[in-house]
Amino acid sequence: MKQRPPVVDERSSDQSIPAATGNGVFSASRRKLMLLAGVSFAVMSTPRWLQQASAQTISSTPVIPPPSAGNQQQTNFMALSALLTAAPKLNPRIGARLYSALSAQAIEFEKQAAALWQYSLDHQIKDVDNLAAAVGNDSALSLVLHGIISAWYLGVVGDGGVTDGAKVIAFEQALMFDQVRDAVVVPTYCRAAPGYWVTQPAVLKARI
Amino acid sequence: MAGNSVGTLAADVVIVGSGVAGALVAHQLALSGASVLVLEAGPRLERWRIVENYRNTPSKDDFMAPYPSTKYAPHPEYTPENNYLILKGTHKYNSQYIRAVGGTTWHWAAAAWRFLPNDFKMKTLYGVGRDWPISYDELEPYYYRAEVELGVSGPNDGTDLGSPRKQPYPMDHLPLSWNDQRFSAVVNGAGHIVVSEPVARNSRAYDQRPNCCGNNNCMPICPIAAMYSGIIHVEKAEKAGARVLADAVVYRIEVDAKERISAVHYKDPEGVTHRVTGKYFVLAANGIEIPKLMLISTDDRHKNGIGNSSDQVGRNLMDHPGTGVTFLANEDLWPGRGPIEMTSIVDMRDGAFRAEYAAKKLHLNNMAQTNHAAQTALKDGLVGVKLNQEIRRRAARTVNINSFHDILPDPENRIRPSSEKRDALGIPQPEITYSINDYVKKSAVLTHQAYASIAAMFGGTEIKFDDDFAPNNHIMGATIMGGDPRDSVVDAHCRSHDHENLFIASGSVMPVAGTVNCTLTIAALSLRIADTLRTVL
Repeated sequence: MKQRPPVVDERSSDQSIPAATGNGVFSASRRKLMLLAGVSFAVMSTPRWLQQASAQTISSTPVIPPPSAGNQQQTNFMALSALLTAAPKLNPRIGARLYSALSAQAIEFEKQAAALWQYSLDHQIKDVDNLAAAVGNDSALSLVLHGIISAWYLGVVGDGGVTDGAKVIAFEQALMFDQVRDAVVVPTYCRAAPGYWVTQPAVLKARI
Repeated sequence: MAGNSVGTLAADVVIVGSGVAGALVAHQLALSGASVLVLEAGPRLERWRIVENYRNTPSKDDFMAPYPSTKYAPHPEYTPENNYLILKGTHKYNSQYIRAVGGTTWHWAAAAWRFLPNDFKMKTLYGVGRDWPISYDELEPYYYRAEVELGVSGPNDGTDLGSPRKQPYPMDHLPLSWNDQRFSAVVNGAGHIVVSEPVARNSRAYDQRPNCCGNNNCMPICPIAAMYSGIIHVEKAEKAGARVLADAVVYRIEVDAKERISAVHYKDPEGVTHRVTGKYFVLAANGIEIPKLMLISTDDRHKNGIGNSSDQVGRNLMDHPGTGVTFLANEDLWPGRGPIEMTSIVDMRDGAFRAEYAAKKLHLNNMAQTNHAAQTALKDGLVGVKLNQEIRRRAARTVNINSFHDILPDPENRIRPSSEKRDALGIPQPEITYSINDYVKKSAVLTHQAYASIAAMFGGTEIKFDDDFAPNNHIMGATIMGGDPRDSVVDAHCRSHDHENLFIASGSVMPVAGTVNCTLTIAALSLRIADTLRTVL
């Protein structure tokens, strides 16, 4: 323990990870910025410094329209996803990709997702525990419920990420990592100074 | 030979393979002013792309997934299986290796152990296996040079790792993770000895590379090059003047009338053949591909292949058969903070028992368990708060320990070029016949008991044993080193007994598997080859 470095606050050092080699590793913040560059809907909820950076790019980049208000299916999917995951906020871009991947994977998905959403509305169910219990006997609705949750948590559409047919939709933002972000890194996304690992993780009780 | 052959390349030293072994030899000799040409079968990779491949693969547990095989220089893939290796025998030698510039150390846990002095005299001391034709003391200076070249951090605090050293480690070891601290505190003193592993991972800025910041992704790719990979010395060798040719698949070694190697022949991805001449040749193309290449290089005078008067080429294939255990501890340990492996249990590495059964080393896994935790919790059908809590509980409490067992060299464990299957360039694929004998199985029974006792120390629940003898990709033995040309392939200097200008830089020369990762020993032997070549160039 003679090399023990000063204790660092992991939670406050989340913002940027400098590229450390000449091998072309982007910093996480730059990478995010690049992802956002062509996506106009992201501007609304991003910090001011990022808004400026994005705004500069928009003029020279083809604008991809946000999910149109007319696309009721996707809007409903996001509402259903919010109910199923109880996550404080879900990334709509990931949601759109998940919806499209899940639809491509199973021909009946769109219909079943719509049915599950309608079921929750009809029965005025506002939380996932009650919804899961309510559809317990309906195998089709139960499957789609767990399928959507699994996709958001693992960031993967396909059978558990085991075989070749599976597809990664999100990695760093997969919801499973939200449960442990205060304690362990998302592999390849270092969040703190060297030596952060010597301490027992500070557990954020508020999260549970 | 072939009508479509184009041009002839030449160099003082021609090296086949650009992993840590070939790259070290190339770098050393280029520094000495020799003309050096490295022929690498696979492509050149960029670190950032490997990182992105990792992030985008659904097969996060498959360390080969970020390294897609090429058609022209295939390497084993397992998700899904490409069946490049043809596996026979009672145990599958389903090994991994990377055919690419920089080689297989693109992914490894960077464990940089020295062998024990007794590992060099297994036959003399314990009456089993073989002796090395060199002693630990002869290799010691090269071990140190390898540690300096690779950048090894290790315990300079007086910890006895059993391998005497004249110099301290180039870097002090990284401070242990919480997981490793707790594991050491509980298991040390309960009949076991847990130590900090020596690793080729920077604990401070070293050799123009940064210190480890705990990305927890040493396997399958360190995103910041704080962990050593062969690519480091490839780039150094190029800076020193060596030429590295990617996509050059060597398929034939040519011998002249005086039994000297006169040339090697390679195919480019289009199948066009090229001849490369040289004064000295170093085979550094991995422990499976080297013996395969030697065995397919036949002519009228070498019907059993090059360098094979002993009939030992391809035989005595070894690895470290692995078993493991996974359980949930009764406290939060939080694996996943820091590098993926930091400590080992070393009290079963040597002893009189080696006459009867295999020695072994155990090591604690410090990889983040988030993904496994989430998959299990989802499979259990949990939702909402219960799902989140279960992911957290499993991620915090999962303990995973694995082991390396010493296997004895057995001529029947062997690599042959397949007579049926050929790759896209028409080169025979490796066929491997392998089995695990009682020497290992007997030891594994005791390993299982040790796992159970450690699990009990943590009030372990959901204890799952893995007794499958998984290979650990430490490919050794198939061009074995020895003093007697009748039963070995290379001499104490890694020089072919049959061909004066042919050297082999690879784990394939190792006559004993021991209990630790073979990379540092490969590096030390490679530096020794470079010294030998320097005296004749």
